[in-house]
Amino acid sequence: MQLKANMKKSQNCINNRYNPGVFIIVLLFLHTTSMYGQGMTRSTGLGIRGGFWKINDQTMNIRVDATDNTSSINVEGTGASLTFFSRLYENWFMESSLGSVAKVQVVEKEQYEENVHVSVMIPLVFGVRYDLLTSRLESRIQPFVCAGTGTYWLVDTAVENDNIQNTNVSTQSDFDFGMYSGAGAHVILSSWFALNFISRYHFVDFSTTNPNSGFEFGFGFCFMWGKKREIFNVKMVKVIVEDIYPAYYRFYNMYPLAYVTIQNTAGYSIEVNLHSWIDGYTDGVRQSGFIEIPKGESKDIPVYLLFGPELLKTENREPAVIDLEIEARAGTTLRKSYSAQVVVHSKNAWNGEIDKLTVFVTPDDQAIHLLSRSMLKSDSVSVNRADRKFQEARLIFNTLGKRGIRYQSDPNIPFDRDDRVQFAPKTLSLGTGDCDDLVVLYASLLESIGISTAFIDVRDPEISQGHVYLIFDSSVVPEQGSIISSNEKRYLVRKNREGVSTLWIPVETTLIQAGFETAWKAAATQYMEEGVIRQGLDEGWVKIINVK
Amino acid sequence: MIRHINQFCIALMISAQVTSSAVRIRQIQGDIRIRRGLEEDWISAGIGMNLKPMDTIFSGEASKVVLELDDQSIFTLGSNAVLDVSDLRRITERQLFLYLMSKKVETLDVPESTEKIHITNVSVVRGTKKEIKPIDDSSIKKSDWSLEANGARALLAAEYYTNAIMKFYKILERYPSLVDHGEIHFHLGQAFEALKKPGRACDAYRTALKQIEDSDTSQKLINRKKKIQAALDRLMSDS
Repeated sequence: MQLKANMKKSQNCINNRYNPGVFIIVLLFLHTTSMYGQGMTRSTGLGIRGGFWKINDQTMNIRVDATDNTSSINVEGTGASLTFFSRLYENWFMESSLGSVAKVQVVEKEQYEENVHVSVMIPLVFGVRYDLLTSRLESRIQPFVCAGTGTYWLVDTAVENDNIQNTNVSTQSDFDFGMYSGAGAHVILSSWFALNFISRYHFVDFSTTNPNSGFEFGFGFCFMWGKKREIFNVKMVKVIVEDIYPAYYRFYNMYPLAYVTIQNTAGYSIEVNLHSWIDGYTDGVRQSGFIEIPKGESKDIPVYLLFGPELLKTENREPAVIDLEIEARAGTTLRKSYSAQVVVHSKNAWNGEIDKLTVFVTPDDQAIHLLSRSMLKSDSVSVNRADRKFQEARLIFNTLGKRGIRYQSDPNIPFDRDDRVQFAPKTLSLGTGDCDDLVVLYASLLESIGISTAFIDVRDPEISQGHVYLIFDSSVVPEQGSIISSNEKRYLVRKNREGVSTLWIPVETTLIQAGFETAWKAAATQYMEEGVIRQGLDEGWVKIINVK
Repeated sequence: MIRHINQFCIALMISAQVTSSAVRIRQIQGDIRIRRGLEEDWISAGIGMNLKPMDTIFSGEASKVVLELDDQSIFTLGSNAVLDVSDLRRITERQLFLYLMSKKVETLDVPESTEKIHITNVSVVRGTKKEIKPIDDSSIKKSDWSLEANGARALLAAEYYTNAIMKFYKILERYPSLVDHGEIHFHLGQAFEALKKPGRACDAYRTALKQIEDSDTSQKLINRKKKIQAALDRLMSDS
């Protein structure tokens, strides 16, 4: 009676097994999740699959006949298989499986006679699989088709027990070659785990008429590992700025320091996000944002870094590494890391480009701001004079001289070929500086009281060492030049920020101890001789660079 | 590397010209003064005086000075003129071209940024002090520019065309608001024409024509207008 009850339960289960509604709901649920799952993310996998295969083309049934006390169970072709796959190229995989599918037929008569017939099919097959979704698709379901060939070993075993306790066992086996083809889908739950279902037709003995040929339906899971699928290739990492000068940190925040050339190898459009940073120097990680690279194309992705004032604490010249992490997104997300070497110079290092010298001018520095105002307070210049700015500049220069600021060449540091520039507060505290330190100091002070300045850079081809001195805007128009000097060689006529032609006064800051008049004359003579008479301005070896 | 060597050689040549150039006063007539380097004061010139490139020479009313240049050539500066001795140095056409190009570059606007996100600059900065206009200083002579223009004219007359062109441009730069009724541009046109630069000559002549207003009826300006028109016709027919 217990057996009969169990049989009824089994029959109910079998009747409910193929409910399509539940199956569709599960699929929709999986499909609408936000996870990206296009393509098998890993190269290798091992799985176990339960399956059903009508290896004898009979109907599965459970029958109980109470009138003659006879019952029979015919479980047709259920089994399991162990599967293995490995990526060959892009969406192509090699796969193999070893399975065991059994058909069990049990017939019981009046509790005295029992016949058991077991057929076992052991397929060992090898084939290829192709993942179908080659276009980018936000989905975790990956359909595929597959085909292959292999061996099919069929073992039939019959056990017959009669009512006088005689048992007859007979076994026979058959070995055939065959092939299969089919389709299925992976439901990728994570980069290392997926569910799968498959339907494939086995051509045992390469024939559809063979009684063992038929459809196999399977459902299982697999674990994946190994290299993720390549969807991009880094062709080149080109560092543009190999030397990082801390004083230019604002400049670096606006311009790329390197380019990474990325080639899309996915066969469909991908999006790339570049993360970049230098440990110990940058204020966090800077991202490029997702940039689309069309199918088959390459793109140069600029590398920006996020520097802050902390960089100005760098005391010594040191090698550093730009860390790059490339995050590519196309269904799956892949990350690759690269690095490039750069050199971070000391905070006072200057690469000699005159336009970059302007970054050392700090009129907004609190100490400079206060100093320039205190200097003017001590001997106030009449605010109504047309040459007020000229007089203020003269006063500041002479006051600096009285404070003992003087010229001193840069220190010789072994193996350091950088030019060094001191920020204005440092020159004030040291009391000395070379030509670039002194122009930076004087320009900072003048700019802090609203007097425009410019540097005159001289790279005389006859002299190995360069030189820099300063001009400032007197705001006096040329027609009133005589209130500054009756000798027009003492000044330059050039346009100021407002586009008005005004007189600009040259000053040789290295002569700070000699006083303004001497420094002015010396600079004007230099300008006339080098810039005008020798045409250094036109030849390009004398340059004027506005500080702001 | 070759470019650097060239630049070095050119600079050496120019330097040699500058340092070796010695201008000597041979004849003096009337009020002739010189100003040394960056000095403020003028001193009376004397025959046999050597002048340096940084010096300036002034010729007063009904005066004349004859200068002997380092190549033994003679240069005469007429009355009411100011000339820098450095304006007498040899200026090649290449040097003139570089000068003109550098002036052109200065006038070029900074190109618009190509950045996708463009944050505009501050539109206005407040904080300007209201300046009290100074009383016009009597020492500023309105004819200063014409003294210098006379010096440039002397260069033109002596066929120092490149020197004259640079001098005229410097006058325009130094006196941005001068009103000369096209006189300087007319002379620029003549100098460029003499250098066989018809394009630049035409530009200068056209600018000069624009600066002579139709209402100007003085015989001098009418004559200048005719000369400019004739020069333009000549250049157009040649081309």
